[in-house]
Amino acid sequence: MSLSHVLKLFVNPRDGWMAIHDRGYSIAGVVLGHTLIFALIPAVAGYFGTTQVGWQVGGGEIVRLTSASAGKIAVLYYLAMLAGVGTVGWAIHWMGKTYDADQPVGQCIALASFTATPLFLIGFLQAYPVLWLNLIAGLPALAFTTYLFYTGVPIMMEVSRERGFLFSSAMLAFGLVTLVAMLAVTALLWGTGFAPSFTS
Amino acid sequence: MAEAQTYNYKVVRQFAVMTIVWGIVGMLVGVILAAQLAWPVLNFDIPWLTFSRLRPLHTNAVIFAFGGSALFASSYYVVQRTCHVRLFSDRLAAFTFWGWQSVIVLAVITLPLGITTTKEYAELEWPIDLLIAVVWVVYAIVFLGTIVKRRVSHIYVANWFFAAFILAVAMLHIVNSAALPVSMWKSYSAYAGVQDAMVQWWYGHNAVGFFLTAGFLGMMYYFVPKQANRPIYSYRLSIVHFWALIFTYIWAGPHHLHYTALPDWAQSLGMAMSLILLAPSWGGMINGIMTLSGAWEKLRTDPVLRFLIVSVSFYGMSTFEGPMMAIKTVNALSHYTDWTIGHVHSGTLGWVAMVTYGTMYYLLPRLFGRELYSLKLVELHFWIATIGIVLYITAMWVSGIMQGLMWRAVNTDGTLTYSFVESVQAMHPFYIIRFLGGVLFLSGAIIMAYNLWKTVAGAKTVDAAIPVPAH
Amino acid sequence: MAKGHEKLETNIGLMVVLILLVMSVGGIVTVVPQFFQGELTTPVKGLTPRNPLQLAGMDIYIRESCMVCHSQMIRPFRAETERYGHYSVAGEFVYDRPFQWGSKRTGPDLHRVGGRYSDAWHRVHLINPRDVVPESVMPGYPWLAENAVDASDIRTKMRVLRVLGHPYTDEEIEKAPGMLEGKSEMDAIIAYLQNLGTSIKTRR
Repeated sequence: MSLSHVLKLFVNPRDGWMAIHDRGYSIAGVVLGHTLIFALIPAVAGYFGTTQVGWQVGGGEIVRLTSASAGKIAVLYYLAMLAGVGTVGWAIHWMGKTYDADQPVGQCIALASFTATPLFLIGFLQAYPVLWLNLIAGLPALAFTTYLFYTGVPIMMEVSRERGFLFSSAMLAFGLVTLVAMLAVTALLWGTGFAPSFTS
Repeated sequence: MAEAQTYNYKVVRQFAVMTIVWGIVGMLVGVILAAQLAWPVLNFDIPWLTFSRLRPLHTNAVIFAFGGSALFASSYYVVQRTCHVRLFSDRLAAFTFWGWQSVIVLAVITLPLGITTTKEYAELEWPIDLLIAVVWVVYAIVFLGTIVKRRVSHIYVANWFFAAFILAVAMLHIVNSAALPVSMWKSYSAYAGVQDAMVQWWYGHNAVGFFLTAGFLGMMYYFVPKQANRPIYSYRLSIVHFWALIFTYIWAGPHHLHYTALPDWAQSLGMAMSLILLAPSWGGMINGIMTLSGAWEKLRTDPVLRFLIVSVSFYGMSTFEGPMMAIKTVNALSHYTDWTIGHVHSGTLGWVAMVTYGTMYYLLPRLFGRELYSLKLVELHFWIATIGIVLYITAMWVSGIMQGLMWRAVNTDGTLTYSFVESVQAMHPFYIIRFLGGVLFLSGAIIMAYNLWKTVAGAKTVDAAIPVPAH
Repeated sequence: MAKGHEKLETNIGLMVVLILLVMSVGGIVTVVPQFFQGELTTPVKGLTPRNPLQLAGMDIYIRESCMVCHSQMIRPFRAETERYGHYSVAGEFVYDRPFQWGSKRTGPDLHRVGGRYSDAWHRVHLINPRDVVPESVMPGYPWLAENAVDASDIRTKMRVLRVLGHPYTDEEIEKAPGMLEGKSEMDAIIAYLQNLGTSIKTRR
């Protein structure tokens, strides 16, 4: 379990990253000990929030998803998060050579997975789908995630801070592309049998 | 007649200064539009201020006034420096400057008056279209004539992109603007219905592809290696992606018309070519990023370089998002929504504006023989602009997908879940966030204007001497 | 390849010619055939060119740039035809110069708005949309009610359109200014809107 590392990361990001670096996670180690567990939070909260609690647009009726469609979407959502961490982790490994930062894949996936922790955690708010609340909480979580990433890259990849800055920025570009790919795949899936089905 | 000993920097200076001015004007109109969508009272019941009449003013100002001036400035600068000759004709170049500014002023006057064709990015009526055609032909003469005069045997890659951009725009503009006049300020399109839609989006998509992409890639291919002080990463890649890009882009127009009355075969062809377009587009991105990657030790201390690398990253993202949105199934959700607006602005703010800023920060001090007034202000501009873009895009992604879903939502009994106006209501918070993003981006542009004004104020203008070519 | 390209990089004339050739292919293949496809150029049954009042209304719609927020193209999706009516057919647009399909729905699609709302509703809505739809973000266009329709160029307009292929008769053109007498711009644009999409009546 990675809980102690997560706590260290939040209290003092640099120390946290150094501890994670020294631990030398294997792929299985980080996926089983961190990713699979933490990604459950948004998926389960999302399922609960969309089927039990529901949301309102303006002053209208409360709308919910049917359990069947929400269930399918929650599973895909969970898989998407795993795919996201995996893809970003792999890309860090692949790009590492360009920056003289050849680290094992496990280390790179650990970088990706632990970086995403604030986002995984704030995902619990999806149990209560209120727009302004999710925004007010989500934006700082996103900012902290970005900060964790920029702090983590030089430590985990064993490069100088200058090199790390450029590496992080290039990865951000990759991350944006991945996000867009997810948007497109989502729209595709919604059009081919995984569409949300509404009820009140 | 003695061969010119200096470059013509005058016309470059003129266009560069106007780039900054029109950037602020165009973005200010954009911010007003954003505010009007959040608070419609800001239309004030005044005809010249309605959102509907102002929107084309915004698009024309940012694409043609801001973007156009930047392209004129940089193409005139780059073609001279890479060919080691003064411009083909000072008088014709001056004509293009005053001609282009006249086009813009006419746009500013006619569009709010409701004098418009409604064809997107081609709204200006026929007399102005004629002026544009004349100015453009002269521009081609000046640019290509300078290349003919060159004292270096090879034509540098940036100039291929500029040449393609100039030639394409001439072709697109002349064909798409064909119309029969009714009076001085009113005409009817030579094309109707479906044909008009096809011609319009053959034009419209390539206004993006050649004006905003090929032209600005020309800018990138000069200023990135210059600022990074490194050669372009791959010469071979630049050849392949140049020809592939200018061939493929032309076909992509129909992706603006998915599931409309346009024939199916045209839609499918447009989608396929849009996906293929990913490769040549990314050729440019890879060349840019890999060239910049070599200069990593400068990145922390050189804010101008940061504008350039972020612009190339956003270029990569937008040219990936475009083909994704050209997939029919995705488009079925995204068409007509704010997602399209988000996509446009990730490209225009993230790529076009940011690479222009990097270029202007490089150019203006040199054109006036000065050092940049404040690097700290450049850094401030960078962060404000980037945060502004992120706010804008994420707001539009969320609102766009929300709209698409709300419009298609059906209950278990088959009836529509939401009325249209409920989707409008749902947009409100996102319109506010987008407005804030725009305000930030505009503020960054104003900071830049201040910084550059302090840089050039009081400078004695000097035209650089033409060095003897290395080979 | 590098050697071949060497030739282009040292010869601007060759480069220009090749660029033009390469860029022309896409347009020739995709655009030109559509001028010859029958169903794209034949009007649907019952569609006639706009009468003078509707034509004046169309030009006001253009002047105010309504297409910036309103599309006129119903796509063949269940939810879309449920909301707006029969999907839009190519032959309905043969008299639209330029086409008004739009690319954004800040407001609803208008292709089959004809007959949906009463003239009175349009009158109130166009002057101040929030009087009938409180959450609307549409601007108000009160000057439409105050301005008289400009009849001075209606004959020229119809003649120009006839040159472009719209079958107006001499009699229609002759009588046109009379039809606009006493009418406001509001009357004109409502006439235009009430005519939209009325050539296809079945709900599909």
